[in-house]
Amino acid sequence: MGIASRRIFLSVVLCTLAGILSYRTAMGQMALYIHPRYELLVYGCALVVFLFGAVSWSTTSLPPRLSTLFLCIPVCIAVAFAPKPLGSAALVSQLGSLNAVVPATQPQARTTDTQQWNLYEWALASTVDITPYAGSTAVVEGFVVQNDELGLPEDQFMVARYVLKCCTADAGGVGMRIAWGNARQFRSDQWVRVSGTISVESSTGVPRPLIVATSVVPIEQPGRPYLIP
Amino acid sequence: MNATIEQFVVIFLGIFYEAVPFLTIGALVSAGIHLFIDPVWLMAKIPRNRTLAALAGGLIGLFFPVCECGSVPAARSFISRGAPAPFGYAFALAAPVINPIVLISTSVAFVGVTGWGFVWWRIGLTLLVAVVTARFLPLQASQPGVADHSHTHSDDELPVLTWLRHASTDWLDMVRFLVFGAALAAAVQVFVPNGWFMALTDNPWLAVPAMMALAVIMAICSTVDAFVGLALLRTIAPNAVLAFLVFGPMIDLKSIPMFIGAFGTRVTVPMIALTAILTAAACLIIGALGWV
Repeated sequence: MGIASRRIFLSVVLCTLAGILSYRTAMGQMALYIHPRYELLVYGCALVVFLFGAVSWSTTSLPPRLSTLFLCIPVCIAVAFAPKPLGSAALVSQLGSLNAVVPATQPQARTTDTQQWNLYEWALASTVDITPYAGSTAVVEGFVVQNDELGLPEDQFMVARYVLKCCTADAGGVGMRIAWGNARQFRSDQWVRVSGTISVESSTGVPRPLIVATSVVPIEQPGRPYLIP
Repeated sequence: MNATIEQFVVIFLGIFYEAVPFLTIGALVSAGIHLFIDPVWLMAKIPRNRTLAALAGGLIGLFFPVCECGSVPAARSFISRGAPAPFGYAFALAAPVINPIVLISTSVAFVGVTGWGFVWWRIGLTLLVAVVTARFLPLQASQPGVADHSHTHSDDELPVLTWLRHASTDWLDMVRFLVFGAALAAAVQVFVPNGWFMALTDNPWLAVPAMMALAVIMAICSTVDAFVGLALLRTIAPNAVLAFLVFGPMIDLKSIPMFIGAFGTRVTVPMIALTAILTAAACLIIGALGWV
């Protein structure tokens, strides 16, 4: 490839990356990968990368071929793979540390109305003492986790979400068990809204919440699937 | 599609999308250092004594709010503009923590829980490890990035264009290492579950190295790792969490390839070894004496 062709190729790759960063952010898809607070920064980055592409058009010192090739990797992956959030498969490897994202302090839930609590707020309550909440009404949204490693009985499944602090590399899962007669009707990663009452089980010696569901309704995946504490 | 590949892609792109703006800021700062800082002035201001130069490098991050993705190209620029090598090394290691943004995020995360003690330990230990490591690293490194780092531009070019050319050269030089590091970190996260490391944390002697290894693998940006550390504090010994917060911002799977690209293996290998030994030893002593 001649110098002129390499210049053009580099410019195209840089401008494509700038386009991907802007498009994903504008379409809300960046929220599947990073914390929303970085979105403005990504827009700024896209602008600078676009300008890099523009100045590369007439550059006299091309980077090593390896740099351009490496830069093609995220560009190709971002184009080839449809945007998707972390799902149940990643959560299974975290089962040993489920709810570990809850901090040592006990930040207050947004409200005392438990019907408005999300899975993170229920995880917060569980780390102190879930017992006082037995009989409370719960309405939570999340994706279904069906896996033998959970060791759940036939009439139970788990509903879970990820809590994001920076990007998907630090995403940690929070989840609750759901008692529902036809628990196997939902496939893993199906998003559902669960309504029911909290029951507290202590079979393992540690009180654990269980939602005895009165309704489980399939819903669309939310635009921002991760919980942001 | 295979769920493991999907998981890899989501984590890889997450790390890349989150890190690339910070690399861009680092490249712009690096180009600014190249264009606007006079080497003669710089050499006059920075002490020539290795220890003092390293101390100055460790503290200069207070004026350059960059995380690990941005500190490496900026450190390379400092060295290529005539700053003593220990100054640049200490800046690269310490700036991800010793900067205003991370100091605020660490304070917000920990002061309400542990008081100021944990915050001061993080700052003090980072500075100590960075300065001691930088002091003893080789001066004459096989520095491919430093040696080859030159730009040409015409004198009548607009300054902003010159700045962009410099920044794009720096950015393109470092982005391959970021891509490689992000892919490595994502692959290890997918194939080596965090639970393996968490299982080791029950042992007080293994907890510190296990948390350091976890920090290397997770490759979390230093601007937010305090909040991850806070969550870990519920189940992990405080000295091991301190090791996580001191070692992670200095050395992780996405920064190691960048260090190699900027300073060469002759500097990077002892840099990793010294940083690891000093952090582990200090955190084990702090834990044994019950100081955190």
